[in-house]
Parts: sequence; C-alpha cells; structure tokens
Amino acid sequence: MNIKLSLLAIVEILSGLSIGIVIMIITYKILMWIGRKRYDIHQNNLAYSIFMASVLFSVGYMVSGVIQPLLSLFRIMAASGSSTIELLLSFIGYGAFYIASSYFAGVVVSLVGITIYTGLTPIDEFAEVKNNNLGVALVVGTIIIVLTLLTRDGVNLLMESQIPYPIHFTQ
Amino acid sequence: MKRFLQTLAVLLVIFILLAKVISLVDLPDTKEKEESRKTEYCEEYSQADSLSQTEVRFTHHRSWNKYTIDSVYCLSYMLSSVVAKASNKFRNGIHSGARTYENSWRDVYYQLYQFDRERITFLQDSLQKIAEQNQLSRNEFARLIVSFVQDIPYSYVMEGPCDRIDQPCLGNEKLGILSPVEFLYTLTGDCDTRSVLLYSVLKHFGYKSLIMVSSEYRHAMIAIDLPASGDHIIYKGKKFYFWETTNTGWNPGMLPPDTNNIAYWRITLDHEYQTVASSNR
Repeated sequence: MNIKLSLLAIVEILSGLSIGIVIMIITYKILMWIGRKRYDIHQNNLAYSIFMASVLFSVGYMVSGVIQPLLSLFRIMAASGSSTIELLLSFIGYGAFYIASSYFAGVVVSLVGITIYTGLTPIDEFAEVKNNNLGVALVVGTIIIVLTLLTRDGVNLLMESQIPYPIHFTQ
Repeated sequence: MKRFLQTLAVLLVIFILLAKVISLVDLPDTKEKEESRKTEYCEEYSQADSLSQTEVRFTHHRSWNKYTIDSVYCLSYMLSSVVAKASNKFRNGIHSGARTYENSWRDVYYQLYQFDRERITFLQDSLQKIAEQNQLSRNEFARLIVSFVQDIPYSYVMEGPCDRIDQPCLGNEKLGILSPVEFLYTLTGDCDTRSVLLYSVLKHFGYKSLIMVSSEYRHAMIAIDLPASGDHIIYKGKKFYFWETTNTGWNPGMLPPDTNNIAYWRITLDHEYQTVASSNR
C-alpha cells in the first residue's frame, strides 16, 4: 500500500467534502432568505426549488475547479520551508480567499446572467417562478447552468493566476 | 445560528488537519528530514581544464535544494569536449522523415537518446549514489533526478538567430535542441533539451515516462507514472502526471496555468518506444 498516495486521496476527499458542505449550506441559507424576504416564497414552490437547485449546482461546480489549484498551492507552500504555524495560517488564509473568490464568481455569474436574460425577455422570470411556473423555472435553471459551464474555465484561470506558481519558460 | 457556527468550527478543524496532512504528504520521510537538519552546502562552479590543444575538460560542481530548502544535494562530474563534439556532430546529422509534428520530434528525441544513453552513465551513477546515501524512496529518487535538471538555469536554444533577450540564448543550433551530453557539457538547455535528458535518465532507472510536446504552447515537458495528484493524461491505462522541467519548484501534476489545456499536449515519445533497428540489437 502506498501510504502517501492514500493520504493524498483522503486529503482530496475530505477537502472536497468540507468545502462542498460549507458552500452548499451557505448558498442554501442565502437563497431561502432571499426567497422569503424579497419574493415572499415559502413552502411548496417547486419552481423556486428548481431555481435553487440550479444555483446550488452552478456554485458547487464553479468552486470544484478551485480544489486542485488549491492543493497545488499547498504543495508549493509545504516545500517553502516555513514553520508549521506559518504554513497552517497561510493554508487557511489562501484557502479561504480562493474558495470565497470562486464562490463569489459563481454567484455573480448566476445573478448577472439571469438579470440580463430577464431584461431581454418580455416576461418577468422571477414573478413567474414565484407563481410556481415550472416551465420558466426550468429555462432559468438551464440558463444558469449553461452560463456556469461557459465561464468556469475563465474563472478558474483567474484564480490560478493568483497562485504563486514558480516561473516557467516556453519557446 | 449557533449550530451554523459550530459546523463552521468543525470544518475549520478539518481544514487545519488537512493542511497538516498535505505538508506531510509532500515532505520527505522523517529520517531524511532529520538528516537534512545537518545543514550542508557545497559550492557551485564550473572549471575548464585544457587537456590538449584540441581537448578541454569541464568539471561542473552542482548543488541544488533538497525538498526542504535548508539543505542541498551536491554532485560533480567531468565531461570532455571530445565527447560533446561527437554528440554535437551526431545531432547535426539527424534527419527526420516523419510528416507529423509529434512523429518528427519523436525521431529526433529517440535518436538523441539512443546516441547519448551510454555517454551519460556518469550522471546516472552519481544520482544513484546520492539516492543510496540518503535512502530515498522511488518517489523521492524521481524528485531528485528531476530537481537536478530543474535547477540548471534555463536557456533558449534556437534553430535560427536568437530573438529572445529575457534569458540566455543559444542561437543557430540545428533543430533548436541540444543532446543530453551537450546539455550536461554546456549547462545550457531549453524545454525539450531537458526533457530528453530526463527521459534518458528516468528510463535507465526503470521509470515509465513520456515526453510531451505542444505546438500550440511551443513547449515540451515530461509526464511520469508516479503516485501523485493533479494534471495528468491516461496512457495505456496508467496515469502519467505532467512535470514542468524549466525551473525549480514544480511538482508532478502541476501544469502551469498558461499551458494547462491538456488537449494541446501530445505524447511524442513513450518509455516503451523502440525503432525496428534498435529492437534488433
């Protein structure tokens, strides 16, 4: 058995789980709060659930792209010779920053995309979702997911550009 | 709210533990860490001795960081200009009849490997000695080999005249590459020069490695079948992790962000490749 490889696998699983749980809880709470306060949506609104599900997927998918660069960052820093305390503080600081940034990017992409789409169409999508219009909710959810798929690589590259990789040279 | 904060606190603890585990994963074994505390340094310099009117012998003393930066590996080797010139002559005579980008480079890389593989045994022996002294695992030995090459400062090697000024540049070299022996003699090498040397050394020690090239990125690097995580390609059912060779600090599985589209990377030479002529030997 390769102990180091097993440890690395456990790290990936646990980091994915912990980051995933945090962002899902936060997103769910925020969406529930917005639905209640702004649109007066309470229970049994299937359209809003579909909308929420697409936002959750969108944010989760966006943040998932940051895990591998984050692990690379940790590995670079682990080799830098800093003390354990410095390393831990840097891990937490950088980790929180990158996850928060990609999370923020995921939320912004969803919001901006939907706002622009709503502005370009004659119907008020949010009002339709509030009225439990499943058709509109499915379309809005699909738009959010597609926009995430289209922008994820760019957001990840933006995140990676902040990671202090060593210099490399090409022809 | 209280429950939410509790959850966050638990996750923070998990995160700290993960961070600790990550640092354990990539650092050397405890025994080596303890040894590395006995800080050792060796001077890095090159010395040229004239053996005759036509022969110069270079002695290169190299030192490069172990995985922790407070200690170094030291290695010295000698190379004669006669050996380097023979390798240079061979390289200047290489022709590739292949039509595709990967195949033409595969011909070139393989011929360079074939010609020089018996001429770089001094390096392989020295690296093996260091590995034995430090009781390195197979993974750590691969790191030792790659970090030796990564530590040699990068230089452009151009087929035409030099048009780059950000790094040292060697112009008008046929094929825009140096052979492994020339690289070790001059300590001047670009991405594919480094990749061919690493391919040769890693193959000698039984590692499964590939030379990867990208015409889009104008770059080359190695990929290796080692336990790692990150950017990789799957080849013949095994995961080969990309390993950047042009500077120190790059680990297996870390593709630079500006060259990280795996679709743009192609396998040029694999560890099992052999020509009909070489397989009949």
